[in-house]
Amino acid sequence: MVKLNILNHDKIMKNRLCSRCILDTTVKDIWFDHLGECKYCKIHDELEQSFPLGPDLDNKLDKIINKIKNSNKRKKYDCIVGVSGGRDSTFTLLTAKDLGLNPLAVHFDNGWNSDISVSNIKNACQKLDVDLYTIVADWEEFKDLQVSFLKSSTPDADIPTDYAIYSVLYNVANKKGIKYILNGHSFRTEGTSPISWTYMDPLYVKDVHKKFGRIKKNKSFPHMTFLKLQYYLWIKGIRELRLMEYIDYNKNKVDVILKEKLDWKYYGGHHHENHYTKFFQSYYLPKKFNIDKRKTELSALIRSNQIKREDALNEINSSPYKFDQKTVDYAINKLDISKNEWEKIMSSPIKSHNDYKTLLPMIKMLKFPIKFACKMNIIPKILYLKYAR
Amino acid sequence: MLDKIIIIDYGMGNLRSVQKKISKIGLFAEISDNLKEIKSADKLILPGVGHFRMGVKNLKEKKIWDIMNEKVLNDGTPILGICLGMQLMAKYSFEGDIEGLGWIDADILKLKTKDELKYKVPHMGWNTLIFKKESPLIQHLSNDSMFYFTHSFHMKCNNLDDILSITDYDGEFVSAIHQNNIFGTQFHPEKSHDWGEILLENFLKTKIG
Repeated sequence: MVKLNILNHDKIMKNRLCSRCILDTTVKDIWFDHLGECKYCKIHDELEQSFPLGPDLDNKLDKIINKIKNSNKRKKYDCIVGVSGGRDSTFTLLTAKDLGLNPLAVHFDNGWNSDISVSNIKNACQKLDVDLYTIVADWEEFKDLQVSFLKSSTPDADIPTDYAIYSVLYNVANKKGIKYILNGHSFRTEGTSPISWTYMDPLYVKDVHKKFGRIKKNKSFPHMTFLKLQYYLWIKGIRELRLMEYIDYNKNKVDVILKEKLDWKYYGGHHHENHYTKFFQSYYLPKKFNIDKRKTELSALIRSNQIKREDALNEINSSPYKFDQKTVDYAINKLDISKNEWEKIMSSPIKSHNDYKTLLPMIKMLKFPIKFACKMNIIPKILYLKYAR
Repeated sequence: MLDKIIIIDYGMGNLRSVQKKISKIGLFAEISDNLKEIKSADKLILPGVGHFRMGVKNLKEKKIWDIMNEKVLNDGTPILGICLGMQLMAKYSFEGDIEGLGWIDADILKLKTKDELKYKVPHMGWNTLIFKKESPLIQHLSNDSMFYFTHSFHMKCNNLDDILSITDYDGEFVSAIHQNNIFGTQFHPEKSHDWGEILLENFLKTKIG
């Protein structure tokens, strides 16, 4: 081939940065519009339109709370709140209680809880007088799944937990006859994790486990098949609600309230209440994939006017994601991964969910039914925006 | 008023697939070799598959050549060249040793790879773009968007500012160009799934050029 002499790298737009938030092309699936604003700013705008702050939102909230209250008059609980001991879920539990609901707190213990998270959960449930239902993962099985995802060389290595939490919440709701699951996600403070950074579906989990797992049959692992989910959604009518999206959720205010009311303690970083997630976000993702999760959270805070873009850029540029070598050693040791194996994991070529079997082709085909289900508030709208469109 | 979109018919193939893809994004494009129609178009698309010399010959015989020059250079009508359509915008082609429209200061050369067994020519299949500059044509497209290529010649731009994207195929070549109202893609957006749809939508739905 004729030399084109165009490999002048600073002339190539390899690293583009959104003009509004601080997401950049380290997000593989990112795109920009004519103003230079990114895909995830646009998703934020669409969600903002669906959940605009103001008096109207309060009305919506009232309606939903009444619906939840009326859904289970005779039973002890009217909703489930998944709790991790972190800020978002603890505040969701507090809010649910304040609004007069009778939640059952459900916790999935994946074996990586920090002392802070355990005490946060305990304090919150005691002070709010809420029953706590804990499901403990079978450690050998769970470890096998976590190691499988590390070996899969995709950035989705924290999916086993997310997936298990998801199915556990639905399973408990089904068993106890509860119709509503409240979760603490909020596009205003947490943001949407880019699809190339986090992707999850049942077939994907199964495929990765089949390829890399040592234990062939996961007997006690809470699997959620596509059909089972349909049964829960359409026949049982179980609904998942993002309570925080109906509320003007301000991160700093929330910390003060939680400390005051529930003796809640902060653990030094988003999702760091869990040792594995801490290891995953502070070490594994940045070192292997050049993924810095602070970017999604800070970007969300910029979009909802909770911090300035310059300050966020400063924070990101001034220091890489700090990790604690002790946490890293602890995690690798706990997963029974040898030094050699770990080096292999860190140096193997990067893959994505597209390299494995997923339900994505089917999801794309079901684009319109999914859009409809979002409109009917059967599933959160973000699922359509992130996966189907 | 909707823009009048004309797909220029000069007997060089893939017209229908472009038209079909455009109808998928809810727009109508007319296939035409009628000079009057072409003259009144708001957006032009110049597709094309085949030999450069044939392309030039057909455009000249049908008298579209001069009309296009007038429309694009004088009126500033936005035009998108696809594959051969993009190559025709160059000054000179070594495929047939003949002069092109000359809108873009570039030559068309045979595609050569270092490892010819592994990287066969023609380059056929899916590949990604490495963007070189901002352009309305690439909004809503990510670095991992895939496009379908099938070609054995490529454009060598003398003016690097014209290059919108390059693509790596055992070495890199120009895969898209943009200069004022002139756009061109070496790949086939009409065969490139959702990504191609987005690109065509960018060209057709935004005020560009």
